[in-house]
Amino acid sequence: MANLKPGSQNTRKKVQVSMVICEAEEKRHRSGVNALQLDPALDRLYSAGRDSIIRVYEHERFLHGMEHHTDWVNDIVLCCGGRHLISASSDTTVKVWNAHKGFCMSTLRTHKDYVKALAYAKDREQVASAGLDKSIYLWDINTLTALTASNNTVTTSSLIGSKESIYSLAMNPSGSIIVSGSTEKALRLWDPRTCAKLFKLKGHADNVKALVVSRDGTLCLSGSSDGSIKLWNLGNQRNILTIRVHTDSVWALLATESFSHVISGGRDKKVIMTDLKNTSNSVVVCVEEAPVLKMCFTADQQAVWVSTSDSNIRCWKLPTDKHFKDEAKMPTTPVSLIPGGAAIRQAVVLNDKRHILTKDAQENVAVYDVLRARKVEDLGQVNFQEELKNRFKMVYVPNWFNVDLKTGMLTIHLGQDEVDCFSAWVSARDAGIRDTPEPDHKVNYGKLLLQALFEHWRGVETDPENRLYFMKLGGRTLYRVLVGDTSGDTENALLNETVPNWVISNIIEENCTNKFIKVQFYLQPHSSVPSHLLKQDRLKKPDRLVANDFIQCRKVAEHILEKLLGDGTASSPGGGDADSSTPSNNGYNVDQIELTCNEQVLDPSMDLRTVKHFIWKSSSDLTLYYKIINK
Amino acid sequence: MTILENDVIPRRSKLSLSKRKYKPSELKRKYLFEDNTVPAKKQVLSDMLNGYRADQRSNGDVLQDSPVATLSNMGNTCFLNSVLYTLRFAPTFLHNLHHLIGDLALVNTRLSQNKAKTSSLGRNVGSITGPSSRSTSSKDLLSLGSSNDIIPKSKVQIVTEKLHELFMTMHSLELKESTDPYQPVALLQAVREANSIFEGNNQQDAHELLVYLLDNIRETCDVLTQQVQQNPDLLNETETMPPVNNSKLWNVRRSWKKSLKKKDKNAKEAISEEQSNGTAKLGYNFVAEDFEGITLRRTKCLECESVTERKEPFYDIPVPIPIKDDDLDMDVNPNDIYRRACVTTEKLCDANKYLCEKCERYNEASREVLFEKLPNIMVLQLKRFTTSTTGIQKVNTYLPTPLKMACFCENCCKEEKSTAPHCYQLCCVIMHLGGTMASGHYIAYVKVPDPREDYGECSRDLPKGSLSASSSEKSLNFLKYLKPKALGNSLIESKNGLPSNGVRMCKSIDCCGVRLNKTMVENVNNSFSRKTGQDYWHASTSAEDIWLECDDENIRPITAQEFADELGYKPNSTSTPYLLFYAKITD
Repeated sequence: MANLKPGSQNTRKKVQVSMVICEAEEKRHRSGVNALQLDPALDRLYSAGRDSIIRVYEHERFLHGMEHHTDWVNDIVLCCGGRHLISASSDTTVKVWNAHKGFCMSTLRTHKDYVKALAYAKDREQVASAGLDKSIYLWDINTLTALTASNNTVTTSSLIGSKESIYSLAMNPSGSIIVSGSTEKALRLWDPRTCAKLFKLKGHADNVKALVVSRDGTLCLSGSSDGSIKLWNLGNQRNILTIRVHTDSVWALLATESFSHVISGGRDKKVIMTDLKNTSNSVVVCVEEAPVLKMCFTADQQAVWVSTSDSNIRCWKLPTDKHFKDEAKMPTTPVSLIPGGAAIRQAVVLNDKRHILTKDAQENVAVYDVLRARKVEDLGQVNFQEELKNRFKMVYVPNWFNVDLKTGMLTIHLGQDEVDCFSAWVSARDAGIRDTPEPDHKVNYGKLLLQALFEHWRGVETDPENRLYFMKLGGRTLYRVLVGDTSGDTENALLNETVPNWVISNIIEENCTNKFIKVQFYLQPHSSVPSHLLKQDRLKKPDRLVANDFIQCRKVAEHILEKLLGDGTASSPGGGDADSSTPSNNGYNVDQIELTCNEQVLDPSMDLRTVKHFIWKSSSDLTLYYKIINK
Repeated sequence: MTILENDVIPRRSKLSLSKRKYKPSELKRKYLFEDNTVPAKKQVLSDMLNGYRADQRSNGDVLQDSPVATLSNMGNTCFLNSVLYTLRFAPTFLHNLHHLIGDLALVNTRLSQNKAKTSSLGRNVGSITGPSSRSTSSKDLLSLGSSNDIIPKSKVQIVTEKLHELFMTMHSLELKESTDPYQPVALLQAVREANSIFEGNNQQDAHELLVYLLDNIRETCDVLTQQVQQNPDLLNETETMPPVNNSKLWNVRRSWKKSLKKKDKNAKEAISEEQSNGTAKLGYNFVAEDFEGITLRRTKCLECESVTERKEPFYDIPVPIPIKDDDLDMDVNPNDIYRRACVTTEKLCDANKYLCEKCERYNEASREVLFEKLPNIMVLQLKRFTTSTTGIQKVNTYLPTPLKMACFCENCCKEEKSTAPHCYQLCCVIMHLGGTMASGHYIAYVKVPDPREDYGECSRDLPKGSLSASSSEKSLNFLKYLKPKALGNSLIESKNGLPSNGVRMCKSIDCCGVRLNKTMVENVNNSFSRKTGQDYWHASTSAEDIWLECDDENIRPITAQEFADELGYKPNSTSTPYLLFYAKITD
């Protein structure tokens, strides 16, 4: 989210258009999995992905994805006996889903920063959300699920008193107590029934990232980035136990129903089960391949599903008495595995500002075409740097989009603030547009892409798979839609409301007001140019010229031939419409004019922006020398 | 330390402010006597006084008592004088500056000989100058560079040389027991030639000048290094040693150098460091070594909790000053005040999130600023001048100035105070007196150094004669073979007037060193401590340290106790320490 950069707090909040390049169905998690929930009745596992997609697995097979978030999904809770799902995301929203059918019912936009944690009180069907904006909101689920397009107001109660960003939250099933963990390094407690602040528990030395409260609300377990797990007696507000079984931060906790054992996972990639009556009695459940983010029990509570910052989700058998007594060894392989996909970890935009070379977590290299919004080449496990070198082309095109990889998929942001998306003009030939009557006609990349994206909305068919959303600077998503759905009736109505004006004025109305980008340069004769060919004043001062940045050197040579070597008066070379069929002066033709810059001979097909960027290498005005060669 | 950046005083606004001073509309309160539009020298001088000097002593025979040479105020030049006094008494500074100038002269002499041999190839002049020396027009060179110079001197180098010349002059004034204040015109002229912001007769920021002078010397050192690197055959081994002393001051210096060398050379060489050749020695950049520290910015992403570190060199540490006295808990150990102000932890959150390379996104992060290395001479700049809507304002909040300070580098912070590997001792203070930057006055307080610590056991003992650029190669070679010991000891005993107690001292002390009027200093000490039987130089406790209060042409010795009183809390005082210089002590 480039717009969160410090110093870019632009008061003029422009809406940007973002596009995620992905497959029609993203069956596998592309990145880490932040949260897990199990519906034992249907044997369904819900997993919340950093790739913004919540996936549902039935009997460990992919059922469907639930897409509507535009950033990491940080936490999910399954409620109403598995009928509804609530999700919290770094797109600052909380969403309510129909879990069975997998669609988003409503979106709560109350939080002002990443929503990091949810807590659920089953008996009261109440859910609490908290995040980096230091706020905790309590929601009545029955109210949330009754929301419709016309009845769309919710009242929420907030728990006040937090001083720092909240990273963890827990509530007991009866909803009599709620605990938050934050960078304050302390636990804070409230009574959700009255919203009264109760007390604060100090003892951890770092952020508290995992919490569990016992059913009766008398005990609480906390896991912290200081590497310890603490058991608290909430009755007398005392720390009863401190467990140090991990060698790094503790990020995930589970407690058995009777609070007899704690299962913990953390940055050291281990899942460890510890007997709370005798903390020296602990068994390593598994060692994962990446830091452990979340765990959830299987229906029989004999095993745990474990998710990590890698995309695989594994199920591991929990130790029994035998294992605790060291009479049996723990299995080293998981009970089952839901394989994840590979996240794109590296992306480099090539010089043509159209193709992107990517490398994923499995070292696979691929090429994407931004203009066509799809992957165009799979190169396999080749050397990324080598490939970049091979694909280097000495051509310069201005930036017109931003790339971001936070979801593990390519996201292209188009806007007008930091990077002007209408800055890249190329010839139709270079853009690869076939069957065009004028191959030298200039097209604009940003405009082409936006036109393609909105064609459905305007009734024209194209590639329907990609996801599109509009985002305000500051990272809040206004509207998200599948490109293929833009022609639907409701979508059409919403689009009419949300498509930013700058897009409409530039794309829809075909009213291209964009100015070409200009390059200023000087033309100087080389010393070998016979002075009798030049007008007298040419010898004294060089000509300062202005031209469109995509003008090729050939055009400049034509200009020299016509204007500088003859009797004509100097003027700027035309914007691509100069008549090149003029009979050459003094018997010379264009091929005999050689242009140099920094003592390097320029190819006639090279454009001025490329000369300036790769040969002149300075932001000051370009200087070109010309001479006549004999051919 | 982003919080401090707001306090940076833009040069432009400062200049304009000092001009605005003369607008009648703005002369409401304190400085009514400034209501005169003629900034004559006399007028400016009365500005400087600010009612300070009158109540201290009468202007009659004060100048007679000065224990060292004095500098006169040439009109708003107390900023210059206070910095010059400070540098003159800063531990090892004079000694190192002397050898830098000596090396420059030596290299210059040999280059000119090489040049004479290959005079037909006039080109090597250009290559010798190197890219880092600033381009100077030939006109400047003719007017400023001496005719002997074969290498075109940069303005930067000229400033460094003028600084050394000034210290030589002060030494000779002390030798002659002259009491006339000296006007450092030549240096000021060179400074103004090289940097236009010091032009005009306006009061300037002493800190800015200090930074500028140190920068100059550092750059001069770099030029020297470059010349030696480009002409490695210029020097033979004896000249390539850095000045080394065995004082308790920062022995870390050598070990630090070793660790650097280990990167490209083998360990054996690193151990026999003093014998090893290597041209880096001659370009011994004492400014970088003595004044440069390294900050460490450690950032932890709160999501993946991976840590990244970034190191940056620094030359002084800005210390924020609370606006109100109440903000400062008087019971807090002064050590903690400075440590807390400098070693900070900040949370990057809200709109200022951190782009984590691992998570490929903006996340919350915690950022610590600590000091991997604190310099041998640590300069604390108290941020007393803040920019507000009404212009630049001075914050007069009292902050204690401890004579000894616990080190707050990363290693020392980990250790208990008693086992910390080093600590700091106050050696110089520049005070700012007055309500605004434009009209204020600067006074330097300097601790009289023990010459044995600064000049003892120097490996670069070149006699005074070698300094002049005109001296021939022959005489240099001749002098090089003289045992420094034989020359050195006797000279110091007889000339300097300070007992060397058998410590071999570098003869450069007789070129530009401080020559203290010993009797006068002892009188002060004795009258205060009544320890009649003990020689001043043998007294070791800080209570018997002698300080000099350097107020332009008035310098008076005071005891450490008097100095401590001067630094103590006085309600509503606008006489405030501004720059604190601490010397590192290791033992």
